[in-house]
Amino acid sequence: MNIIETENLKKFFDSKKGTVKAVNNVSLQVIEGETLGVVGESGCGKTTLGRTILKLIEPTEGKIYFKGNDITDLNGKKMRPLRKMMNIVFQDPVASLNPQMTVYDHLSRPLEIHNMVESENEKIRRMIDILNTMGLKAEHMIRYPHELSGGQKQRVCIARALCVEPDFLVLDEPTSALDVSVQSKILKLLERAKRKFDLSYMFISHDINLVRAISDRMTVMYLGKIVENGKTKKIFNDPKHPYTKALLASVPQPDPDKKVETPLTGDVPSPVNPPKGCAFAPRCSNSKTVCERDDPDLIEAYGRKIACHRYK
Amino acid sequence: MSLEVKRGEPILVIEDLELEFKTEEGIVEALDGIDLVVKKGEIHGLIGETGCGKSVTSLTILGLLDDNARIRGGHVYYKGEDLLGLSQDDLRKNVRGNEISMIFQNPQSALNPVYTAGEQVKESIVLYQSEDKKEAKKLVLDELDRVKLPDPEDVYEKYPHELSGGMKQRVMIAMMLACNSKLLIADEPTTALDVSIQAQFLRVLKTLQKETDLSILYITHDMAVVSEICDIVTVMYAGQVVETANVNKLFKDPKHPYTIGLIHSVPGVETSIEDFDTIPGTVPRLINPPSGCRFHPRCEHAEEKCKKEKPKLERISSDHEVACHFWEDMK
Repeated sequence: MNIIETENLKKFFDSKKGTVKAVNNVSLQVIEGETLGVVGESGCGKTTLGRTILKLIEPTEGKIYFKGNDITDLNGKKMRPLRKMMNIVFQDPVASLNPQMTVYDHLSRPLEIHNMVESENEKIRRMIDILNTMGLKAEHMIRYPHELSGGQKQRVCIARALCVEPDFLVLDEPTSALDVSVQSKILKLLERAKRKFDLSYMFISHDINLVRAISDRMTVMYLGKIVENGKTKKIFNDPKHPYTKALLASVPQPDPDKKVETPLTGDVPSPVNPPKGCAFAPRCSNSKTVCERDDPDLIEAYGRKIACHRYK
Repeated sequence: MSLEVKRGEPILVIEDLELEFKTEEGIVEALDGIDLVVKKGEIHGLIGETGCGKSVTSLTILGLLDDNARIRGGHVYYKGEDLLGLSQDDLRKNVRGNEISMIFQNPQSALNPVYTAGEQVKESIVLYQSEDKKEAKKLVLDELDRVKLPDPEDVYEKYPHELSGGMKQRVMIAMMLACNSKLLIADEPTTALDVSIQAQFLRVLKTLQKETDLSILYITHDMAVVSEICDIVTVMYAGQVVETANVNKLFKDPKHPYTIGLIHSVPGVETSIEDFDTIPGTVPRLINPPSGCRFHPRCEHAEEKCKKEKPKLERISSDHEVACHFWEDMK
């Protein structure tokens, strides 16, 4: 079953220079119990997608379903009971925590707002339980953010997201501000929490090696659109879309024998007034006339979804 | 700086460098006897996590430290001359730019927003190569072309905000080339860039290294980038050098427990989440750092000796040095 589904989801922003099509016609599913990786370079719309799905920003067009129910038009009040079922962890733990609030305060508010606890004792017990799951101790409750290391701050953010027992979490680059040795610890904790609480994740990242290691399926985005979507293993073993191919080939591996061979030329075009037709065409070595004219649809081929004229 | 250094000979030699910072909370012992040799024509990676002292090392080389820093001992020899003995004036006239250049993580803050890219590169050309205006412009265009910027004429007229991050970083490299620098210090130059742009940038660096005799000290926290472009790698931990080796040796046969842990923390092609090996504990603060080997509180192999005695950087083969009392026991 799908925990999240979007149908032709669009999010446009108006700017002085024109309309930014940050998310443009995205249809995807997050299956219950899986980790869906969303990768792409800066400006591809992956962060906007995550926030639109949670309705932290209102979609321009399209539909969002949570556990099969249409939540697109729910207002703030009607969304509230859903808020505890779907949550988010942001990239920058410093900006996500209030410097004047202790860890206790941070965890206590969601528990109270959603009426999750009946007594102070129960609240404390719950907090200790969740802090322990994230590798923190009870004594951390009385700490302020500046008394914690970067990794500990991010653990608090994850604990805050988990304490209301959600079913679905958007993880928006949760480890990119952290050192590698800390990153690997956080990833292990996330994996453990996923099993313990039966969670589904949408893991947004620009780090392709990371997504390869932790996701079951993945979505590759380019300029607001999905270019390829399918099982992570399949895509890595045999990428089909020229952008996916080039992107995977650009990633350096922690192995001196494996060198990057064919880096992409050119830069990602501006999402204001993107190229006509296939957005990747100006950088694609196989681009044909049809690519510059028509935008390719996302179609089923090779056991995945691809948006490229070559696979019609 | 007249000494000629041949390819493969040491151009920069750091010996037993000790440095501390005075802060309100106490003395931060930032560098605890660093040894580092960069040879002419090589790309030397300097890797470590936040606060290990890699950036401080590079700032020391160029004399760019803040007032609260104090060098406690050691030497930084560049072409045989100790840079620590030079005045700011000497450094500016004879070292910065024409001998050693540096590029930073954020090219946006390194470029002047009110001058075009071309004008900024021209400044270096006029200083070091040619004062003739017409010729200077031609030389600028040549340098922009060498760093593979598409349409140099166009880039020349652009202001920094009109260029993408990858292009700006390449303008920085063009500036360094215009100075005829022999040693480039690159401090996390691709951290702010996307992977496809990073790949383009690394390729430019690699080509320059092959075509010229440029030496590069490449500072990063990214193990994958190190394996991609470096010839030699030095690993730092909490202000100490723990291991220096040829890049193949470092990845295939690491000897220091910290290097081993670091390599296992990085997701690679065949790793899944269960394979992640993590290093217990966290990086120590450098006010009252651990005694002896600073890694000992997190090391599963640590014994009494590690607490008492700082291990020396020991040569274990022609291109491999390690600072661990028990390196022979590491698999």
